[in-house]
Amino acid sequence: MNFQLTEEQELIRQMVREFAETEVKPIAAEIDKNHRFPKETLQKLKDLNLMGVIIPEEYGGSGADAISYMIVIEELSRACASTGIILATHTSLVCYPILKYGTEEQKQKYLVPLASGEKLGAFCLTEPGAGTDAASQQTTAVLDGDYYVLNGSKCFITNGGYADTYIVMAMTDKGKGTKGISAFIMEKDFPGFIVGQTEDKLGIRGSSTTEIIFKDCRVPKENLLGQEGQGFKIAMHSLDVGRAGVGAQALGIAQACLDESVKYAKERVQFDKPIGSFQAIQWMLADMATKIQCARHLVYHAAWLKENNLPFSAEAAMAKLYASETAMEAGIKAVQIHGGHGYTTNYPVERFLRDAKITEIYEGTTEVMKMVIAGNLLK
Amino acid sequence: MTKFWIISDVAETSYELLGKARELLGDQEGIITVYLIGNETTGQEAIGYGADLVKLMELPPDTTWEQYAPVLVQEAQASQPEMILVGATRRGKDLAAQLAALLDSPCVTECKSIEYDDGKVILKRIIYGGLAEKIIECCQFPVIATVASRTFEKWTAKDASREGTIEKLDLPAGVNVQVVERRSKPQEVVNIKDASIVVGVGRGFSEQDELKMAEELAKVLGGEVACSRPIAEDLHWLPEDRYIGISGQIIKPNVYIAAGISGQVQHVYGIRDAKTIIAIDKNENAPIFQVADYYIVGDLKEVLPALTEAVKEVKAANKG
Amino acid sequence: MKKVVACYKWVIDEADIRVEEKDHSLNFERAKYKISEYDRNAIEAGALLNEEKGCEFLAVTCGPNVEASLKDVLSRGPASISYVNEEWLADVDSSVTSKILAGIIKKIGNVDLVICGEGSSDDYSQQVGPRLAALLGYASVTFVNKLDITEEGIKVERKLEDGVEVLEVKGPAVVTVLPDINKPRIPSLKQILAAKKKPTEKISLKEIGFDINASQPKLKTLSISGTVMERKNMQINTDGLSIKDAALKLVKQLNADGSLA
Repeated sequence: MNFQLTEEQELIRQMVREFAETEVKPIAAEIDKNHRFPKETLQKLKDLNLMGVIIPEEYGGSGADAISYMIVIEELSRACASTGIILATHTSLVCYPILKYGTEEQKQKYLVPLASGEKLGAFCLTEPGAGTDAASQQTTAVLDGDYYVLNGSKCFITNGGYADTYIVMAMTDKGKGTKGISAFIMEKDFPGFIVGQTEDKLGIRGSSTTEIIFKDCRVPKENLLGQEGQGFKIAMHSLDVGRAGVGAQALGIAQACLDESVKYAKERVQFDKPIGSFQAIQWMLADMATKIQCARHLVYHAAWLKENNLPFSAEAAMAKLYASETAMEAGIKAVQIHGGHGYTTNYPVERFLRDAKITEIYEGTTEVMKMVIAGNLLK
Repeated sequence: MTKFWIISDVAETSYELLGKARELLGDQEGIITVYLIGNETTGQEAIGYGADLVKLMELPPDTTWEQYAPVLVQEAQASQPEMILVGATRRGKDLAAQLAALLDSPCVTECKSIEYDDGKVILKRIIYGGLAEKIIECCQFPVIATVASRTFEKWTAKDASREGTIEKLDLPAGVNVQVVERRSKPQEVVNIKDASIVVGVGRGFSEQDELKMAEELAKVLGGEVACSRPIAEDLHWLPEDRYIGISGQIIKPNVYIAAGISGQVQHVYGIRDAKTIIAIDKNENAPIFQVADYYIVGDLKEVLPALTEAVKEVKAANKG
Repeated sequence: MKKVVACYKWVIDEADIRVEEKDHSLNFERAKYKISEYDRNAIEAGALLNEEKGCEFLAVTCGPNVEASLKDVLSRGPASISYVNEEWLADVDSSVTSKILAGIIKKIGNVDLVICGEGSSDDYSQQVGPRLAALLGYASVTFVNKLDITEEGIKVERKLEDGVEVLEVKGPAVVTVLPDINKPRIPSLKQILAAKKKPTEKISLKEIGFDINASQPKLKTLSISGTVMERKNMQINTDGLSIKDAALKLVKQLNADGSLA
């Protein structure tokens, strides 16, 4: 048992924190206000080799461990949750499955530019009629000579429109249920690939969330990821990594809530005393800190399991479940501690609260996390 | 302690250091030697301020002033000074440290106070970026100490008719540092250290045009505008010699008005000796308020013009 | 190929130091260490000479507990670090530090250029650079904000109170650099991961011929205490006073204090 991060992990935290403080945090409120996708940040993430943290160097990545990856997402999200999810989606749900299931040709063609930061990725699973019930996919892929022809539409696609490379789930055999789903690597320039409407969201407003529509969209046969019928497994496996990543994002948001609250509690004077001297505030801070620490252990532990090639599906679900609920609670308390000021955009905590909510929803809702955890118990 | 040396590339500072040396010498018999850049007149002025022996240096046209270090080492070995006070300009600090290494001597940088007690020299200086002060004891001689201008007072017993010796100090030839060019700062630049009222501007100003409000206030007060580091170094809204802080100017005005300055310790270091500090910031929790005598929480765009008007009104009333 | 060495100090982050209200003592409980701010500019200057001029670039340090700094510094550019790690270096003055650093640099041998920060962010004595120059017999060039290296030597611009000096130095030199000489990089993830593969050399005092008894610190710290500013801390615009009225009240107060004269 060792609770100490390695020196390298600490240095990575220091590096990402400095970057986040100087380059990400200063624009966080602005990109939120203007719903602006921070393209300039992607270039900087690329320069710092952060676009493929867990991808081996031979495929354009940095070859760091999974805990380091959690730290990267946590620290970025602490400054800006939008930036956190842009990178987490790209890494967990696009780079990772290509590394795990891609052919050598696919890795060279798609993973290298993704992991080195030349290209950005997006992951298309959710459909208007297939949210939590991800298995009821309506998008179809039909083999036609050397091509699959895709028809259908996806929704709530993070990085939609800005991503170059998309992993798309589609039904190749409706009769087989989840076993009839296949995964494809698609480029945004494929004919019939259409970026639909952009969502206007409560939080993470600096990230892009769009519809993606396929109209007789032809995908070369060699872009099938894994085997036909393996799509659902690929999606679920990717989501395990993704959930740990969302846990790290939630952890970063929660930590930001605590940081701001501690600062405010020391500065804000009422009844001639800093409000931090009142027990009501102290209890809120203590609760936040305790739960954040707990969330951090869950998130890092899930990553540690993955790093050691141990089963981590249930632990990733626990990490996401707990960290996202912690982020919400921390957001609510942070606004409460800030009082009227916290309800305004003069302080960042209202943004943290809005950003926190999505972590209980995407990449599997809180309820799905509980299904996964219980499912593991009752197996 | 009876043998003092003073070294300074700025004559004015050497007079202040003379004041300190005279104070430490008290009624004892002693000898104070001053090494300074200047001519006979400057030398005579130094004698008036308490020097016994003046050695005139020059700012060498083709090399740096610090090249005097080996010459001074020879002089020191011959005359065995016990305390060497050096004016803490950048040149002075470089020279002092080289001298200290060559003489294997202790050196204390930018002392705020120097006392002598029973064979021990007690010095005070500021560390951790202005957060703390350190009291240092030294009983090895010579003690070298660098001191910033305006730290000590000139000798009150100044006597223009005092007698002393003035000599020239030569620089050895054949040094390996060549001056290619010297560019002096533009002359019209005022020395903000001389201003009795200073209005400091910081990141609270969102555009350069808004500085006019601060300039206007400084004008009616008969003061000068200065700034925090980012205004000069990052935004270049004001020249660098107007930025106040540990690595910039250190000022002691009667009144310092911090406008839109958050109050980092490095900035506060530069204003800690101001007689009165006033702060204006819209953030009611700005740390600058903790070091201010008076403060107004509010928008600069509102407060600065209001202050300008108020000054005009009060000054008019004073006259009437 | 010119050989460039950057010196750095591993210091307590002053931002983590708390001043106790009751007795103004300093509380270091939460203090973490960092590369001294100004030395980050020195390291960056060396890294740039390596990348742009092909200089060999190394780093040196000494102090207590400096082993914790090695990977951090190595991720910022130097090919290796030579260091002295001794507990008793916790409370030494610039005379001791410069002697040890000079010993390490002599041991490395054939160093053309030594780069230091203009001062350390803890003590800010600004002595180690010029002291090193004197001990090594190198030219001392301080407060530099532009630095270039050529076959003949170095060319620098130094910023002084009265203007700028442009200098050429033939032969080896010690340069101290100002913060505006460059913007220290944030190391990339690959640079951090590569740091563990770079060599470090732990040097004993014996190896550099440093005699502890002959080179004790010359200064003794009697006390360190938080600086206090006795100020009135009086807010003028309280009790609903308008800005206009507050401004007038403040100016009248200054007038009464005799500050407007």
